[in-house]
Amino acid sequence: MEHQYIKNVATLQLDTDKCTGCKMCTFVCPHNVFEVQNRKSVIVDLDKCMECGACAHNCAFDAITVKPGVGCAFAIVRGILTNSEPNCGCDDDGACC
Amino acid sequence: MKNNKDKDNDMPNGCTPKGCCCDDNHGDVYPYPPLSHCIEKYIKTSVGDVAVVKTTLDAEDKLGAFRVRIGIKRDDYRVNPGVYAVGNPDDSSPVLVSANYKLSFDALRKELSDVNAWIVVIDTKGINVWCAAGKGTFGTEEIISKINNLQIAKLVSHKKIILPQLGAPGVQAHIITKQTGFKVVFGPVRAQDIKAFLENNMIASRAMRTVLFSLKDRIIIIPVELVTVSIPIPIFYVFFIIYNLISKQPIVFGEVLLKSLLNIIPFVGAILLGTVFVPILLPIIPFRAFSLKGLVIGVIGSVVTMLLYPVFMLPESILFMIATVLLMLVITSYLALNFTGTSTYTSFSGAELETQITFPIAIVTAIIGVVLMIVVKILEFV
Ligand code: SF4
Ligand code: SF4
Repeated sequence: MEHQYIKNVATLQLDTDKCTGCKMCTFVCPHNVFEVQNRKSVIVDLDKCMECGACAHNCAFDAITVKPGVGCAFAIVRGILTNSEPNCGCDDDGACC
Repeated sequence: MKNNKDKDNDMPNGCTPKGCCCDDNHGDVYPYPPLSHCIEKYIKTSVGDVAVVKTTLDAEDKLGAFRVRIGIKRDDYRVNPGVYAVGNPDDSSPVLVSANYKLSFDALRKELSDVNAWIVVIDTKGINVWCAAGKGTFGTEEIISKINNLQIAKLVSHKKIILPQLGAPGVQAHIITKQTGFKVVFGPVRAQDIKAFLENNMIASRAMRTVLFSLKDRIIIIPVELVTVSIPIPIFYVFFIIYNLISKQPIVFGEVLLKSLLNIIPFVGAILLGTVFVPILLPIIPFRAFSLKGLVIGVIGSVVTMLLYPVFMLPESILFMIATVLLMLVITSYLALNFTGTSTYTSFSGAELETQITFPIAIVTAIIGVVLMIVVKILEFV
């Protein structure tokens, strides 16, 4: 069964004019959000985007923007409480966030 | 048994990219640890002696992994950065980049039996690939500096390096290429696919590129989560002991201890529901928002609790029953919401939206619940 998270909230944007169809975004995205059709990348499933930032980082043509962040409630609460950017400073392999 | 529990060494539990959950206070003490038991021999190369590592894990490796898994000795489980070899590589062999978290390194080398390859361990401060990518320690600059300092261009005659795909959020492949001349190929998400990837001309299939969050992935996280969320249980217990000690009836201390133990069962149950059942049933619980999933499970737990209510020896009062249900719902929803940090598909925007709505409601509800309980106690005396 596929996991699905809250709809229509991801900040991912694609500028098709800049896209060269190099496919890098399709290689790095862990959730198959992109497909290259007719030499242009297309966002085929926005709701699967977890905002990891891999695509935007690795698009050599700056065609993608996304506000990367931790999809983690605990970090967000701490961010609100400490009035800072959400960031989990917890242990790597543990019960974080 | 192939790669079940080592999967999350690449895709760690409790972690999403962009800085989540990665402790950067791991210090900088090298060299660590003496890896001698993993080393088969040394070979001479154009860049000096290189250690050939075994592709099987021994008892020491497994014990180490176990200790990390159950939460002791989590720090300093790392490998010295540098070049390593598996099999009998030459200048045409592939170059795989790994984090210097020992579990990441182990997960990779144990999949490389019968493969000839170079492994470049970069310094991610002992953090696994995905967390390190989020932190930026598995990043462009570190990779460039390792390629240069370790003279990879002298070691191999080709111009390709393979990075784990989960490292992608931390790196800019085109910049690595520009600065070093090495073309970056992103390998599979799971180390278990690395052989198939190499045999497939370094093309990762769609399945190899997809991060799953399978039942196994979710179950493996439960023990560590349980330890963390069990911390408030003694507080519940003390609360009920005090609650029961304040009484008009004559008190036998031993009975109070026993009764309080029964009293906390619904709340401990709610913790278990939120930490064990929510993760296991995650995809089949209705709703997309995690807090709502938790609420659904909480409602089921509350119904069961109300049916069994006399068993727990809680005050026979409608108000107290309401308080019990409210607190149970808060616990399950909160724990489910908390699980967004562990899941591998929740977005920041989604989690933010959900948190902003849920968190204030949860706090208010919890306060109402506790106040109701206190009101019930006060009513006892009037
Ligand atoms: S990485 Fe950028 S240029 Fe390449 S296909 Fe994706 S959007 Fe287009
Ligand atoms: S941010 Fe991450 S999950 Fe979202 S589209 Fe880009 S690579 Fe995929």
